[in-house]
Amino acid sequence: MTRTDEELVASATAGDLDSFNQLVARWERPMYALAYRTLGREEEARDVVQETFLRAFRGLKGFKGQAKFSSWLYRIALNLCRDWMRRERRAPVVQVPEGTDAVDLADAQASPAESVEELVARREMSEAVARAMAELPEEQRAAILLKEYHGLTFQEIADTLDCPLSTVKTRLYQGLSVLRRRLERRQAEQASLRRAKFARGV
Amino acid sequence: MCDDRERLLGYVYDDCDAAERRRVDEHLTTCEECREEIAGLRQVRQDLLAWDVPNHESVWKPFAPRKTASLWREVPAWTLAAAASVMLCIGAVGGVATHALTRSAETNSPATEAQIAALRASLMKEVQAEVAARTQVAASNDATPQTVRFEELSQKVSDFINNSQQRHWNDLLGVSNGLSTALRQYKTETDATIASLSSQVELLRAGGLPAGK
Repeated sequence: MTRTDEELVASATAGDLDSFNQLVARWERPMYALAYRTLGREEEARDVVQETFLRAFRGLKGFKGQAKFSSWLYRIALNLCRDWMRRERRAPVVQVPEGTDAVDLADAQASPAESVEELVARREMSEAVARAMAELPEEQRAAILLKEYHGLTFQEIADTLDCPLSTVKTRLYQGLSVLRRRLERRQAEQASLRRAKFARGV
Repeated sequence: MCDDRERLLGYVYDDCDAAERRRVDEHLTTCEECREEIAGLRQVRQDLLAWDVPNHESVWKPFAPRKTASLWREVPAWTLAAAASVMLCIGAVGGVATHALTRSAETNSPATEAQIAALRASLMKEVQAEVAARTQVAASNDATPQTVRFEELSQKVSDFINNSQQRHWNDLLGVSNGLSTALRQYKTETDATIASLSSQVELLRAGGLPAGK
Protein backbone atom coordinates (compact mmCIF):
# COMPACT_ATOMS: atom_id res chain seq x y z
CA MET A 1 0.00 0.00 0.00
CA THR A 2 1.29 3.46 -0.88
CA ARG A 3 2.24 5.43 2.17
CA THR A 4 1.09 9.03 2.52
CA ASP A 5 3.51 11.92 2.60
CA GLU A 6 2.82 12.38 6.29
CA GLU A 7 3.65 8.73 7.05
CA LEU A 8 6.88 8.96 5.06
CA VAL A 9 7.79 12.22 6.81
CA ALA A 10 7.26 10.54 10.20
CA SER A 11 9.48 7.59 9.22
CA ALA A 12 12.16 9.87 7.77
CA THR A 13 12.15 11.99 10.91
CA ALA A 14 12.67 8.79 12.94
CA GLY A 15 15.79 8.08 10.86
CA ASP A 16 14.50 5.95 7.97
CA LEU A 17 16.45 7.43 5.07
CA ASP A 18 14.65 5.37 2.46
CA SER A 19 11.39 7.09 3.38
CA PHE A 20 12.99 10.40 2.48
CA ASN A 21 14.22 8.92 -0.80
CA GLN A 22 10.61 7.98 -1.55
CA LEU A 23 9.45 11.53 -0.83
CA VAL A 24 12.08 12.85 -3.23
CA ALA A 25 11.04 10.38 -5.92
CA ARG A 26 7.44 11.52 -5.48
CA TRP A 27 8.07 15.26 -5.52
CA GLU A 28 11.20 15.84 -7.56
CA ARG A 29 9.41 16.25 -10.88
CA PRO A 30 6.83 18.81 -9.63
CA MET A 31 9.60 20.79 -7.91
CA TYR A 32 11.64 20.82 -11.09
CA ALA A 33 8.63 21.98 -13.13
CA LEU A 34 7.97 24.80 -10.66
CA ALA A 35 11.62 25.91 -10.60
CA TYR A 36 11.96 25.68 -14.37
CA ARG A 37 8.82 27.73 -15.03
CA THR A 38 9.86 30.28 -12.43
CA LEU A 39 13.44 30.74 -13.62
CA GLY A 40 13.24 29.62 -17.25
CA ARG A 41 16.66 27.96 -16.90
CA GLU A 42 17.21 24.22 -16.75
CA GLU A 43 20.56 24.21 -14.96
CA GLU A 44 19.42 26.59 -12.26
CA ALA A 45 16.16 24.68 -11.88
CA ARG A 46 18.13 21.50 -11.17
CA ASP A 47 20.21 23.33 -8.55
CA VAL A 48 17.06 24.63 -6.91
CA VAL A 49 15.55 21.12 -6.77
CA GLN A 50 18.63 19.67 -5.15
CA GLU A 51 18.87 22.47 -2.62
CA THR A 52 15.14 22.24 -1.90
CA PHE A 53 15.42 18.61 -0.82
CA LEU A 54 18.62 19.16 1.11
CA ARG A 55 16.98 21.97 3.06
CA ALA A 56 13.85 19.91 3.57
CA PHE A 57 15.94 17.05 4.94
CA ARG A 58 17.84 19.31 7.29
CA GLY A 59 14.62 20.97 8.45
CA LEU A 60 12.57 17.80 8.72
CA LYS A 61 12.55 17.78 12.51
CA GLY A 62 11.24 21.35 12.50
CA PHE A 63 8.37 20.49 10.16
CA LYS A 64 5.40 20.03 12.45
CA GLY A 65 2.76 19.35 9.84
CA GLN A 66 1.23 22.84 10.13
CA ALA A 67 0.82 22.69 6.33
CA LYS A 68 0.97 19.86 3.82
CA PHE A 69 4.45 18.52 3.21
CA SER A 70 4.15 19.42 -0.49
CA SER A 71 3.13 23.00 0.35
CA TRP A 72 6.18 23.24 2.56
CA LEU A 73 8.40 21.95 -0.29
CA TYR A 74 6.84 24.40 -2.79
CA ARG A 75 7.54 27.21 -0.39
CA ILE A 76 11.21 26.25 0.00
CA ALA A 77 11.61 25.94 -3.78
CA LEU A 78 9.94 29.32 -4.47
CA ASN A 79 12.06 31.02 -1.82
CA LEU A 80 15.19 29.57 -3.41
CA CYS A 81 14.06 30.78 -6.84
CA ARG A 82 13.40 34.25 -5.46
CA ASP A 83 16.80 34.32 -3.72
CA TRP A 84 18.50 33.30 -6.95
CA MET A 85 16.76 35.99 -9.02
CA ARG A 86 17.57 38.68 -6.48
CA ARG A 87 21.15 37.55 -6.13
CA GLU A 88 21.67 37.39 -9.88
CA ARG A 89 19.41 40.42 -10.51
CA ARG A 90 17.88 38.48 -13.35
CA ALA A 91 14.35 38.03 -14.57
CA PRO A 92 13.04 34.71 -15.83
CA VAL A 93 14.15 33.91 -19.34
CA VAL A 94 12.25 32.21 -22.10
CA GLN A 95 14.13 29.31 -23.59
CA VAL A 96 13.75 29.21 -27.34
CA PRO A 97 12.15 25.95 -28.47
CA GLU A 98 14.40 23.43 -30.17
CA GLY A 99 15.00 23.45 -33.92
CA THR A 100 12.17 23.02 -36.33
CA ASP A 101 13.71 20.44 -38.61
CA ALA A 102 11.67 17.37 -39.42
CA VAL A 103 13.58 15.00 -37.09
CA ASP A 104 13.25 17.27 -34.06
CA LEU A 105 9.60 17.78 -34.73
CA ALA A 106 8.94 14.06 -35.10
CA ASP A 107 10.61 13.47 -31.70
CA ALA A 108 8.57 16.16 -30.03
CA GLN A 109 5.15 15.13 -31.26
CA ALA A 110 2.81 14.60 -28.33
CA SER A 111 1.09 11.74 -30.16
CA PRO A 112 1.25 10.24 -33.64
CA ALA A 113 -2.10 11.88 -34.30
CA GLU A 114 -0.60 15.36 -33.85
CA SER A 115 0.31 16.89 -37.19
CA VAL A 116 3.50 18.88 -37.72
CA GLU A 117 1.41 22.05 -38.05
CA GLU A 118 -0.26 21.36 -34.73
CA LEU A 119 3.11 20.69 -33.10
CA VAL A 120 4.56 23.94 -34.42
CA ALA A 121 1.48 25.80 -33.18
CA ARG A 122 1.80 24.17 -29.76
CA ARG A 123 5.45 25.14 -29.52
CA GLU A 124 4.72 28.71 -30.49
CA MET A 125 1.97 28.86 -27.90
CA SER A 126 4.32 27.38 -25.29
CA GLU A 127 6.83 30.11 -26.00
CA ALA A 128 4.15 32.81 -25.98
CA VAL A 129 2.87 31.62 -22.59
CA ALA A 130 6.41 31.50 -21.19
CA ARG A 131 7.05 35.07 -22.35
CA ALA A 132 3.79 36.38 -20.96
CA MET A 133 4.37 34.63 -17.62
CA ALA A 134 7.94 35.96 -17.40
CA GLU A 135 6.60 39.51 -17.54
CA LEU A 136 4.18 39.03 -14.64
CA PRO A 137 5.03 40.22 -11.14
CA GLU A 138 6.62 37.46 -9.07
CA GLU A 139 3.63 37.02 -6.72
CA GLN A 140 1.10 36.70 -9.53
CA ARG A 141 3.30 34.25 -11.41
CA ALA A 142 3.75 32.06 -8.31
CA ALA A 143 -0.01 31.96 -7.65
CA ILE A 144 -0.76 30.97 -11.26
CA LEU A 145 1.96 28.32 -11.34
CA LEU A 146 0.74 26.69 -8.13
CA LYS A 147 -2.88 26.71 -9.26
CA GLU A 148 -2.57 25.85 -12.93
CA TYR A 149 0.32 23.42 -13.02
CA HIS A 150 0.28 21.95 -9.52
CA GLY A 151 -3.42 21.97 -8.71
CA LEU A 152 -3.12 23.47 -5.22
CA THR A 153 -6.29 24.75 -3.58
CA PHE A 154 -6.59 28.44 -2.79
CA GLN A 155 -5.95 27.61 0.85
CA GLU A 156 -2.84 25.59 0.06
CA ILE A 157 -1.51 28.46 -2.05
CA ALA A 158 -2.20 30.83 0.85
CA ASP A 159 -0.22 28.48 3.14
CA THR A 160 2.62 28.21 0.66
CA LEU A 161 2.90 31.92 -0.06
CA ASP A 162 2.07 32.86 3.53
CA CYS A 163 -0.66 35.33 2.61
CA PRO A 164 -4.44 35.61 3.12
CA LEU A 165 -6.83 33.63 0.94
CA SER A 166 -8.29 36.82 -0.53
CA THR A 167 -4.80 37.94 -1.60
CA VAL A 168 -4.28 34.65 -3.41
CA LYS A 169 -7.48 35.17 -5.40
CA THR A 170 -6.57 38.76 -6.22
CA ARG A 171 -3.10 37.82 -7.46
CA LEU A 172 -4.48 34.94 -9.45
CA TYR A 173 -7.23 36.96 -11.05
CA GLN A 174 -4.98 39.88 -11.92
CA GLY A 175 -2.34 37.58 -13.38
CA LEU A 176 -4.82 35.60 -15.45
CA SER A 177 -6.41 38.81 -16.74
CA VAL A 178 -3.02 40.12 -17.93
CA LEU A 179 -2.19 36.78 -19.57
CA ARG A 180 -5.56 36.68 -21.24
CA ARG A 181 -5.13 40.14 -22.78
CA ARG A 182 -1.61 39.33 -24.04
CA LEU A 183 -2.50 35.97 -25.48
CA GLU A 184 -5.65 37.33 -27.13
CA ARG A 185 -3.60 40.14 -28.66
CA ARG A 186 -1.07 37.63 -29.95
CA GLN A 187 -3.79 35.52 -31.50
CA ALA A 188 -5.28 38.59 -33.16
CA GLU A 189 -1.85 39.48 -34.58
CA GLN A 190 -1.35 35.97 -35.93
CA ALA A 191 -4.79 35.95 -37.48
CA SER A 192 -3.98 39.25 -39.12
CA LEU A 193 -0.69 37.83 -40.47
CA ARG A 194 -2.45 34.78 -41.86
CA ARG A 195 -4.99 36.98 -43.62
CA ALA A 196 -2.20 39.10 -45.10
CA LYS A 197 -0.37 35.99 -46.35
CA PHE A 198 -3.57 34.63 -47.81
CA ALA A 199 -4.24 37.96 -49.55
CA ARG A 200 -0.70 37.90 -51.07
CA GLY A 201 -1.31 34.33 -52.19
CA VAL A 202 1.66 32.93 -50.17
CA MET B 1 -20.86 39.34 -8.56
CA CYS B 2 -20.08 41.52 -11.58
CA ASP B 3 -18.23 43.83 -9.18
CA ASP B 4 -16.32 40.98 -7.62
CA ARG B 5 -15.00 38.91 -10.50
CA GLU B 6 -12.55 37.10 -8.26
CA ARG B 7 -15.51 35.10 -7.01
CA LEU B 8 -15.70 33.54 -10.46
CA LEU B 9 -12.30 31.91 -9.87
CA GLY B 10 -13.73 29.42 -7.39
CA TYR B 11 -16.32 28.45 -10.01
CA VAL B 12 -13.76 28.17 -12.84
CA TYR B 13 -11.32 26.11 -10.77
CA ASP B 14 -14.06 24.12 -9.03
CA ASP B 15 -12.62 25.28 -5.72
CA CYS B 16 -15.80 26.45 -4.00
CA ASP B 17 -18.66 24.85 -2.09
CA ALA B 18 -21.93 23.70 -3.66
CA ALA B 19 -23.90 26.71 -2.45
CA GLU B 20 -21.47 29.16 -4.07
CA ARG B 21 -21.56 27.14 -7.25
CA ARG B 22 -25.37 27.36 -7.36
CA ARG B 23 -25.28 31.12 -6.81
CA VAL B 24 -22.82 31.60 -9.71
CA ASP B 25 -24.88 29.33 -11.94
CA GLU B 26 -27.99 31.37 -11.21
CA HIS B 27 -26.13 34.61 -11.87
CA LEU B 28 -24.75 33.38 -15.20
CA THR B 29 -28.23 32.73 -16.52
CA THR B 30 -28.86 36.44 -16.46
CA CYS B 31 -25.38 38.04 -16.86
CA GLU B 32 -23.78 38.05 -20.31
CA GLU B 33 -20.61 39.83 -19.11
CA CYS B 34 -19.85 37.23 -16.48
CA ARG B 35 -20.45 34.43 -18.98
CA GLU B 36 -17.89 36.05 -21.27
CA GLU B 37 -15.51 36.48 -18.39
CA ILE B 38 -15.74 32.82 -17.52
CA ALA B 39 -15.24 31.81 -21.16
CA GLY B 40 -12.14 34.05 -21.30
CA LEU B 41 -10.70 32.53 -18.12
CA ARG B 42 -11.29 29.03 -19.44
CA GLN B 43 -9.58 29.91 -22.71
CA VAL B 44 -6.50 31.28 -20.99
CA ARG B 45 -6.34 28.16 -18.86
CA GLN B 46 -6.44 26.12 -22.05
CA ASP B 47 -3.59 28.18 -23.52
CA LEU B 48 -1.50 27.71 -20.39
CA LEU B 49 -1.54 23.94 -20.94
CA ALA B 50 0.77 24.43 -23.93
CA TRP B 51 3.71 25.41 -21.70
CA ASP B 52 5.96 22.36 -21.66
CA VAL B 53 8.76 21.54 -19.25
CA PRO B 54 11.80 19.76 -20.73
CA ASN B 55 12.52 16.29 -19.46
CA HIS B 56 15.30 15.99 -16.96
CA GLU B 57 17.09 13.22 -15.14
CA SER B 58 16.92 12.97 -11.40
CA VAL B 59 19.37 15.24 -9.61
CA TRP B 60 18.97 13.41 -6.31
CA LYS B 61 21.47 10.82 -5.20
CA PRO B 62 19.41 8.60 -2.88
CA PHE B 63 20.60 8.26 0.69
CA ALA B 64 22.18 4.88 1.40
CA PRO B 65 20.92 3.02 4.49
CA ARG B 66 22.83 3.81 7.66
CA LYS B 67 25.77 1.49 8.42
CA THR B 68 26.39 0.26 11.95
CA ALA B 69 30.22 0.35 11.73
CA SER B 70 30.52 3.97 10.69
CA LEU B 71 34.23 4.04 11.60
CA TRP B 72 35.17 2.04 8.52
CA ARG B 73 33.61 4.62 6.21
CA GLU B 74 36.42 7.00 7.19
CA VAL B 75 39.22 4.54 6.31
CA PRO B 76 40.68 4.75 2.79
CA ALA B 77 39.96 1.72 0.62
CA TRP B 78 43.62 0.82 0.07
CA THR B 79 44.25 0.42 3.81
CA LEU B 80 41.30 -1.95 4.05
CA ALA B 81 42.73 -3.96 1.16
CA ALA B 82 46.15 -4.04 2.84
CA ALA B 83 44.60 -5.14 6.15
CA ALA B 84 42.70 -7.90 4.36
CA SER B 85 45.88 -9.20 2.72
CA VAL B 86 47.72 -9.13 6.10
CA MET B 87 44.97 -11.26 7.64
CA LEU B 88 45.11 -13.62 4.67
CA CYS B 89 48.87 -14.09 5.05
CA ILE B 90 48.64 -14.61 8.82
CA GLY B 91 46.06 -17.30 8.13
CA ALA B 92 48.34 -18.89 5.54
CA VAL B 93 51.35 -18.88 7.93
CA GLY B 94 49.16 -20.41 10.65
CA GLY B 95 48.07 -23.11 8.22
CA VAL B 96 51.67 -23.91 7.28
CA ALA B 97 52.70 -24.10 10.95
CA THR B 98 49.81 -26.40 11.83
CA HIS B 99 50.65 -28.61 8.90
CA ALA B 100 54.32 -28.75 9.92
CA LEU B 101 53.46 -29.62 13.54
CA THR B 102 50.95 -32.28 12.50
CA ARG B 103 53.41 -33.80 10.06
CA SER B 104 56.14 -33.80 12.76
CA ALA B 105 53.81 -35.58 15.19
CA GLU B 106 52.84 -38.07 12.50
CA THR B 107 56.49 -38.90 11.72
CA ASN B 108 57.34 -39.22 15.40
CA SER B 109 54.47 -41.46 16.43
CA PRO B 110 55.41 -44.71 14.61
CA ALA B 111 59.04 -44.38 15.71
CA THR B 112 58.01 -43.86 19.33
CA GLU B 113 55.62 -46.82 19.26
CA ALA B 114 58.35 -49.05 17.75
CA GLN B 115 60.76 -47.91 20.44
CA ILE B 116 58.17 -48.59 23.15
CA ALA B 117 57.56 -52.04 21.63
CA ALA B 118 61.32 -52.68 21.64
CA LEU B 119 61.54 -51.46 25.22
CA ARG B 120 58.64 -53.69 26.21
CA ALA B 121 60.33 -56.70 24.56
CA SER B 122 63.60 -55.82 26.24
CA LEU B 123 61.86 -55.43 29.63
CA MET B 124 60.06 -58.74 29.15
CA LYS B 125 63.40 -60.48 28.51
CA GLU B 126 64.89 -58.80 31.54
CA VAL B 127 61.88 -59.78 33.70
CA GLN B 128 61.96 -63.40 32.44
CA ALA B 129 65.71 -63.58 33.05
CA GLU B 130 65.18 -62.04 36.47
CA VAL B 131 62.48 -64.60 37.34
CA ALA B 132 64.75 -67.45 36.18
CA ALA B 133 67.69 -66.05 38.16
CA ARG B 134 65.56 -65.62 41.30
CA THR B 135 64.30 -69.13 40.93
CA GLN B 136 67.89 -70.37 40.60
CA VAL B 137 69.29 -68.35 43.53
CA ALA B 138 66.36 -68.82 45.91
CA ALA B 139 68.13 -71.59 47.76
CA SER B 140 71.43 -69.76 48.05
CA ASN B 141 69.88 -66.51 49.63
CA ASP B 142 72.37 -64.22 47.79
CA ALA B 143 70.46 -60.97 47.00
CA THR B 144 73.22 -58.52 46.03
CA PRO B 145 73.55 -59.29 42.32
CA GLN B 146 69.73 -59.11 41.94
CA THR B 147 69.62 -55.55 43.47
CA VAL B 148 72.33 -54.36 41.11
CA ARG B 149 70.41 -55.71 38.13
CA PHE B 150 67.21 -53.85 39.17
CA GLU B 151 69.13 -50.53 39.48
CA GLU B 152 70.58 -51.01 35.99
CA LEU B 153 67.11 -51.66 34.60
CA SER B 154 65.67 -48.56 36.28
CA GLN B 155 68.52 -46.44 34.87
CA LYS B 156 67.82 -47.74 31.36
CA VAL B 157 64.11 -46.79 31.58
CA SER B 158 64.96 -43.34 32.91
CA ASP B 159 67.53 -42.75 30.15
CA PHE B 160 65.07 -43.82 27.50
CA ILE B 161 62.40 -41.42 28.78
CA ASN B 162 64.89 -38.55 28.99
CA ASN B 163 66.11 -39.23 25.45
CA SER B 164 62.57 -39.26 24.15
CA GLN B 165 61.73 -35.93 25.85
CA GLN B 166 64.90 -34.35 24.49
CA ARG B 167 64.10 -35.51 20.99
CA HIS B 168 60.58 -34.00 21.13
CA TRP B 169 61.94 -30.79 22.57
CA ASN B 170 64.46 -30.55 19.72
CA ASP B 171 61.68 -31.13 17.17
CA LEU B 172 59.57 -28.32 18.68
CA LEU B 173 62.56 -25.96 18.70
CA GLY B 174 63.10 -26.67 15.01
CA VAL B 175 59.47 -25.88 14.15
CA SER B 176 59.57 -22.72 16.26
CA ASN B 177 62.73 -21.51 14.52
CA GLY B 178 61.13 -22.19 11.13
CA LEU B 179 58.05 -20.18 12.11
CA SER B 180 60.15 -17.32 13.37
CA THR B 181 62.10 -17.17 10.11
CA ALA B 182 58.88 -17.29 8.03
CA LEU B 183 57.32 -14.46 10.05
CA ARG B 184 60.44 -12.31 9.74
CA GLN B 185 60.46 -12.84 5.99
CA TYR B 186 56.74 -12.03 5.77
CA LYS B 187 57.18 -8.83 7.79
CA THR B 188 59.94 -7.68 5.43
CA GLU B 189 57.72 -8.30 2.41
CA THR B 190 54.71 -6.53 4.01
CA ASP B 191 56.81 -3.50 4.94
CA ALA B 192 57.99 -3.28 1.35
CA THR B 193 54.40 -3.49 0.04
CA ILE B 194 53.14 -0.80 2.44
CA ALA B 195 56.07 1.46 1.54
CA SER B 196 55.30 0.99 -2.15
CA LEU B 197 51.56 1.76 -1.61
CA SER B 198 52.38 4.86 0.45
CA SER B 199 54.70 6.20 -2.22
CA GLN B 200 52.01 5.63 -4.86
CA VAL B 201 49.46 7.52 -2.75
CA GLU B 202 51.93 10.39 -2.30
CA LEU B 203 52.52 10.45 -6.05
CA LEU B 204 48.74 10.63 -6.68
CA ARG B 205 48.38 13.47 -4.20
CA ALA B 206 51.32 15.34 -5.71
CA GLY B 207 49.69 14.92 -9.13
CA GLY B 208 46.62 16.85 -7.89
CA LEU B 209 44.32 13.86 -7.72
CA PRO B 210 42.19 13.41 -4.61
CA ALA B 211 43.42 10.48 -2.50
CA GLY B 212 39.95 8.93 -2.46
CA LYS B 213 39.83 8.37 -6.22
